[in-house]
Amino acid sequence: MLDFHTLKNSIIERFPNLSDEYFREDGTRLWVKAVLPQEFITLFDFVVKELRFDNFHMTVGLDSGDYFEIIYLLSNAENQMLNLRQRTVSRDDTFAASVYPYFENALFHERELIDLFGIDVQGLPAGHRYPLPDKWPDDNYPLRKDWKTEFFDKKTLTYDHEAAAEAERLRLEEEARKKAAREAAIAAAKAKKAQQEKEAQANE
Amino acid sequence: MNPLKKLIKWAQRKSPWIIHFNAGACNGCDIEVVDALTPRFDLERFGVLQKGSPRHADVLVCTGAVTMQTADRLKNIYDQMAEPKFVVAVGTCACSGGVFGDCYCVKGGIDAVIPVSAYIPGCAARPEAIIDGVVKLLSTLEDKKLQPKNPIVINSEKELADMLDEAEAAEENTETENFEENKAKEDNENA
Ligand code: SF4
Repeated sequence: MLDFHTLKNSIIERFPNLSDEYFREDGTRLWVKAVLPQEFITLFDFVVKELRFDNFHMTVGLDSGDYFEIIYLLSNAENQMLNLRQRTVSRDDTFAASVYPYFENALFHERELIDLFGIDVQGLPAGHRYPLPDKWPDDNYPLRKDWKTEFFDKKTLTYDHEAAAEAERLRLEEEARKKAAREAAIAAAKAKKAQQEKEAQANE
Repeated sequence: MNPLKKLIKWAQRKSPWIIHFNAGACNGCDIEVVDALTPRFDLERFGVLQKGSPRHADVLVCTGAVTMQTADRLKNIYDQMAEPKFVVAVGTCACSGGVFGDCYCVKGGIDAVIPVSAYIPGCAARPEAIIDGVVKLLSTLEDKKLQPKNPIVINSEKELADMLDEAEAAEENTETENFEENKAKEDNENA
């Protein structure tokens, strides 16, 4: 059984541009930070074929704000877990490589990523969409952070972009107002404290 | 009433056949339906049989909230059933949408798509409540009408809680009595 340190070093040896800070150990699990699709697929190949992490458990989609991430949960025969991450270039350029050629059970996980996050996973066989309804409108990805159920009309299947933008603007305004109020309160408290200290010094 | 209708009613009351459809349940209610049908609770003693085809069934037992994908299928199954037909909504989700009500692809309760004759709330609905609902539905058929006038709502949680409390209290009483008796016996023997 290899410990995580040797595993880490063997990966770094092969992929010199992954520095030490790309890795995090957590008990029985090794986390690797997100890499772009082209590099990811060689890394995945190496990890599966040479380090023999050949149990594929599941994928997790993640909306990280500026881009999307996919976490792949792999394990080996010794029950060590390895979490690899693939990231897309941006929110608009959502290309990601498929791991279907390695693990066929990734098919439904990746179809879900396509439907629910709008990640453009390339390399899957043709087939039905999954799991959203057949009538679901395009460009509506329910698990994205900026998609809110309140603005989706279930009868007409349309998304009210204007109302959503308005609500977002109001939310940002409210947040800014709260932040300003908090900062003002902190500044006032600081000034009061300084004043008190000054008075105490004067008394002495 | 013409004799044929009478015969149908008699047959339905004595042996209603059901079909179970999961419209988008979390599977909790489905387990309870299966539980109610199998020997432990034994709905079959009322002549209730589970059938594989909607064309053979009189009662459609639905669990779960209706999603956009299942709405058309549910309607389809309902249309395939022969008249007269009844729908029983099992579980809070089937009655109103429940915890999934506001989900992006959920239309609401079963009654958003097809008319419902009996509501059995509970998350998950108890097998006792399901049996109660089906039996009450059958007993309304004794009336002249083939469909119950108002939907039946089983408010079983409170009734059942009271019943269970009573049963527990009774059990405790017998236990303590037995205990005292046994103790008295032992004391006698020892003496
Ligand atoms: S009522 Fe509860 S147990 Fe039944 S389907 Fe809904 S969530 Fe699941």
